Amino acid sequence: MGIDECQHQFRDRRWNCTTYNDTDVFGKVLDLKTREKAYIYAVSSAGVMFAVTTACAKGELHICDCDEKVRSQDTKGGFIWGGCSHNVAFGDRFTREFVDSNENRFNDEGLMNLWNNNAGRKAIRTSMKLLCKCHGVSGSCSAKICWKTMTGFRNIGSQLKDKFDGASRVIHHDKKHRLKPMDRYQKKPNKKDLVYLQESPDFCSSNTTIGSLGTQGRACNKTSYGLDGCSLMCCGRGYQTTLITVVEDCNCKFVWCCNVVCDECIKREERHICN
Amino acid sequence: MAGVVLETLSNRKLLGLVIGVLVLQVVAFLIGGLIAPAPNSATSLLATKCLGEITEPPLRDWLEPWGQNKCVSIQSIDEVFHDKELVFAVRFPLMRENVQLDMSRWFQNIMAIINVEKVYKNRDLAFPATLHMDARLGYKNKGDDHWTELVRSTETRPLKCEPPEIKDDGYNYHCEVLSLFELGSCHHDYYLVNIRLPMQGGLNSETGRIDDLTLVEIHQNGGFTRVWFALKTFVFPLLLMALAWNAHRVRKLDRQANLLEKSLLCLGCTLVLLDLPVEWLTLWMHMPFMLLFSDIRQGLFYSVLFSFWIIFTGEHLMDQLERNRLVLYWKHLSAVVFGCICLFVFDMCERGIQLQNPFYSVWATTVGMRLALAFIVMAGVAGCCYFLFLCYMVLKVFRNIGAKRESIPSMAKNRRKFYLGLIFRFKFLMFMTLLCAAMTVIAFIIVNVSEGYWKWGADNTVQYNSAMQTGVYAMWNLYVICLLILYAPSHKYKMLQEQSEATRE
Repeated sequence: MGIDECQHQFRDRRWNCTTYNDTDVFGKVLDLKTREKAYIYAVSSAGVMFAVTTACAKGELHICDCDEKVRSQDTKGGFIWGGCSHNVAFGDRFTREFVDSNENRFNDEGLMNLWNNNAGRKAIRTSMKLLCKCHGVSGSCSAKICWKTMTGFRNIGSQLKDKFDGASRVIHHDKKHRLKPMDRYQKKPNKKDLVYLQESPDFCSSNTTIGSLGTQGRACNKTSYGLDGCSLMCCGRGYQTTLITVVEDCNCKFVWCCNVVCDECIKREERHICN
Repeated sequence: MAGVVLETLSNRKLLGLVIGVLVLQVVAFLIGGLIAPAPNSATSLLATKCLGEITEPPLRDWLEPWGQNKCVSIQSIDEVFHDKELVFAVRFPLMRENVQLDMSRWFQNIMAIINVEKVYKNRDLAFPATLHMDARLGYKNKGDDHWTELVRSTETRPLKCEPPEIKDDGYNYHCEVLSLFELGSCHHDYYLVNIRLPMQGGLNSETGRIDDLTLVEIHQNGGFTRVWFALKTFVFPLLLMALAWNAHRVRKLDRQANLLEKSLLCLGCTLVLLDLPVEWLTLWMHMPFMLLFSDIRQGLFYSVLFSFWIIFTGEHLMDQLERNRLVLYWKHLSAVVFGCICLFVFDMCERGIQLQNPFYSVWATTVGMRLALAFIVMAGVAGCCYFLFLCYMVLKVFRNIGAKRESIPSMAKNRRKFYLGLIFRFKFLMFMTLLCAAMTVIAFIIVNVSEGYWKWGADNTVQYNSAMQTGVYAMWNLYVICLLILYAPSHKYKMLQEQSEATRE
């Protein structure tokens, strides 16, 4: 889930969230303590939390707890007395125990990962929507019931992408054993921000030691001045333009239930590929 | 007009009463805030997308999302499936910590809301559409093998969705929540909801993708119900005693009871009806009409209270006109009655029909919505008329009081006492009423503005909502008890009058 999201969000960047089909999914890019690593950790942690919460709400996971705050009563008694807390609370705690347990709390890398894992979970918590319903006499608003719902995971991924762009570089403070901003005038990162310890490589050329595939052969956008634009994407090496004919689906309509009816449109398109 | 207890009560006794009432009031707030949990709890349940067999005629087996007979399910509607129909299945309550929970009769009522999750994909824009549902609600008790159908209904709901801010694949639409059902009782242990979205005859052709249904199950918390029952059971005998005492005093008079005394007794009776803790029976019996019954009881109480205010003000006008007849207040009372009938009709349309079909909602169709709104607006207009009448009468009383004040020193002793008593009585009630009304309005505002308190971490300490509910309930009870005691006919007054007449002779 986290991987899909990562690849969607970074489809137009030099580093496009490359994954490999072996146990070490993200490859060598995780060896450096860069922004990319920060994002991967945050989005993975958020993904686990999202999946656990969803499974709880579906009833697929039977271990979800009722309320950690009312410990004096057993599960049944607690449920009858005051209902159960939101599944997100369990998802949060479960992820904390599951994902965070692999980290070494006593070095800079471990601290960075823990920070980013937590930022991922925070992204879910803060993006939750509050919905309310009136429930009084004759449906009047003399009593009101509110509950929180999670937004889709795409939203969370894009929120974290914004945090990726605004991530703070930090250094490890040996005495206090804490992470602190690189220079004194920099804003202190808050719990929702991503942090990293090393600057990223430029991912322009292929370099297996840092897990960079290079941008050779990547498609770019000629008209864009952003990171997906040809000059930046191809790192100034230039690009080749080919004219191709594509058949793509258009005017799609979803018909319940459940298939998508589309027209086929034939488009001639210029495609730019980096040298 | 005869004297009442309030005028002859010594200051010390009055102070004692006031302090006693205040203490009870504070206790009621604290019980709600500190002991009771939140009044309701809401649980989000994500529907499982089960695959059911399509047969002719339709076989209606229950599809369970989890449990022993777990259905075959799919993760996403993009998965291909042939010759099967999609059924959204929800079963509650869920298992927690490996314990199978069950719904308790303490929950009193269940309400369900659905939230449609729509993902933006293939530039497929959604338009406002009507969602057609074939919804079924079933139950099972401990020891039962099979699900029993409670109700099955074909329902339509207006589906209004806002496209996401970023129009890109994978973002979610923001859809308005839809009410699904409302049960006036929670009598069984387990509930199961199966929702099919039929497609025969072009139904649901406009809805577009529906990726997921989230069902929000809302019930009254058992803890709150216990506190509420306890409060009612405690207040009921108190009120009954006050009412009996007042009735006894009125009967002992050597004249017929006047209009004011009668209306006060009537007010007491409706509150006794409201307080009557028949809710206890729901723990043993199936009483799905309780929601409607409570609404009617509350409506009755408030309408009598409003009428009482009008009559009380009218009887204190002091313009030498002999009123004491209900017919004279027909204009004012008809506003109250009309408003109440409007709300009653509306309530019968919503909760009355829900007795037959819990999936029914007046708001689901445009005609129903307009009708419901019309009734509410009419009730609102009647309410406004009522308050204008009341304000006008209160102003008139104050003008008369001002006029009387000037002439009071020149009056005979008896007359002076009579008018001073009248003025004091009126001002005391005005003060009490305004205080109670202000508190109710404040409570209402707090309940409606307290969304900020829903932020994470702020819950579970003090339950404002519960405190407001128990507090306001106790307040109106104490208000009526005070009226019954303080505005009962006084013995002392009569004695004093006889004495003064004797001395004059």
